[in-house]
Amino acid sequence: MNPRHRFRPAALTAALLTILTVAVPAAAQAAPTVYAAASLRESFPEIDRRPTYNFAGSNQLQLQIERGAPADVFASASPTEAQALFRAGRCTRPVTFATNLLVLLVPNANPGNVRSVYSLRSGGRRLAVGSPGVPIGAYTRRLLSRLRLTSILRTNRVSNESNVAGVVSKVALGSADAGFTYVTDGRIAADRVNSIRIPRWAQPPVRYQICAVRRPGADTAGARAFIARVRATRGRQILRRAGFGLPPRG
Amino acid sequence: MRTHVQRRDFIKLGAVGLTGAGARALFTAPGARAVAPKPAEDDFAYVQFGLTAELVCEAFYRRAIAEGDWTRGERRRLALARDGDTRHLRMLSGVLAPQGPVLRDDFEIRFPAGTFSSRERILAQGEKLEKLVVGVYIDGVTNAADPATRTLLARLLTADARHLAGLAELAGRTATTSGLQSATFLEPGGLELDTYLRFESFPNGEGA
Repeated sequence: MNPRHRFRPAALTAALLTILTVAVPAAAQAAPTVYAAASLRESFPEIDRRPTYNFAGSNQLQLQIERGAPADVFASASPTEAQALFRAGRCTRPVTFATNLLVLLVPNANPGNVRSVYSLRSGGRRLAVGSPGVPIGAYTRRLLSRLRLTSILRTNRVSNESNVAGVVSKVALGSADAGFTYVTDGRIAADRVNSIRIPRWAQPPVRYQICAVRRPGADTAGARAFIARVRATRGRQILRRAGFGLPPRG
Repeated sequence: MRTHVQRRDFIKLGAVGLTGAGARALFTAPGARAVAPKPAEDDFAYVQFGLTAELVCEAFYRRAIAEGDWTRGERRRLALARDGDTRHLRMLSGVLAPQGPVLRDDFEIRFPAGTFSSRERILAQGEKLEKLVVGVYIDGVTNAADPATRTLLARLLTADARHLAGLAELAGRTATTSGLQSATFLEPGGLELDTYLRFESFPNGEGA
C-alpha cells in the first residue's frame, strides 16, 4: 500500500479531532442556555441574541435548575434565588449586575381612576400583583408594608401572577385597574400603560444577580462569556437604556 | 401637612414617652434585656422612613460640619448629632435586615442649592429636616402596633428632639420658645423626605 494512502486516514482523524476540539467549545460558547427573570426578556436578547433563553419567574427557574434543567446561566430578579442555588453548590457566587424600581401601572384609559398608590386605599378595584413567592410579589409586599398600605391587598380584588409579565399583561389588556411592576416593564408596554411613580423613600432594594450554573455538561466557558458581556460596557449601556439601575463596577 | 395630636393620641404618646424616657435606664441597667423590635406588617413604614431620614440627616450634619463656620464647641455639638444619627442607622438597619440590607449607595442625597452657603441657611435646613423626622416619629409612636418598635421610635424621637433643640440654640433661640412639635403623617412626611432623594443610576427621570 502506498504510504501516502496509509497516512490519509490518520491525517483525516487528526483534522477531525482538531475541528471537534476547536469548533465544539466555540459553538457552545456562542450559545449557552440562559434562564433569566421575566423582566430581562427585552434587554438580554439585545445584549446577546445567540443564547437559548428561558424567561420566567425567578423562583420557577430556580426550581427547574434544582431539578436538573439544562441551564448554563441563571439571572434572578432578587438575590434570594441565586444565593439559594449558590449555597446548594449549583452555581458560582452570584454577582449583582442591575437594580430596579417599582412602579404602579395603570391602563392608558385608567378606568379605575388610579392617580397614586394611595388611591388604592379606597378599595374595590382589580389589582394585579405578583404571587408572594416570585420576586416582584415579594418586593410589592415589602413596598406596601413600607407605605402602611398592606390593607389594599384585602380591600381590592387581587390576582396573584406567576411573573411580572403576567402583571403587565393583565394591566395592558384592561383585566386589572392597576398592577405593581418594575419601572423597566412600564417602559416595555408604554404604548398601552402609564407608570405611576412610587415614593423613593419606600422603595425596597431591588437587585438582580447572575451566576454560572454548575452541573455535569454545563457550558461553563459560554456562561462566563455571557456574564462578562452583560457586565461589560455595552451590556450596561443596554440595561441602562431599558431603565435598569447599575451597581458600581467591581 | 402637619397635624394636631388628638387627645387620646397625646395620652398614648405620653405613656410611650414615659416608656421612652425610662428606656435608656432600662436598656443600660445591669442585667436588663432589651426586647428586640418585631415590627408588625405596617410598622415597617416607620422603620423604613426612619432609616432613610437618618441617612439624610447624617449626610446633612457631615456637610454642615465640613462647610459651615463654627466654633470648636459648636462643631463638637454637630458631630455628636451626626454620630447619634449613625447609631440610629445601625439600629434601624438591624430591624430592617430581614427585608434585605439597605446600602448608603441605594440613595443619592441632594440638598437644595445654597443650603450650606451660610450659617443661617444651614441651621434653617437642619431644623426643617429634624422637625420632619421628629414629626413622623411622633406619628410612629402613636400608631406602631409592636410595643418594642414603639419603644425604639420613642428613643429615636427623644434623640432627634434633642438635635432639634440643639439647632435652635445654635440659631440663638431656646427649645422652649421654638414651640412644641406636632405629629406629621407618614404620607406627606414621606413626600417631603422624597425631595432629598435621587436614584443616580436611573436615567430619564424615573429616579430624579
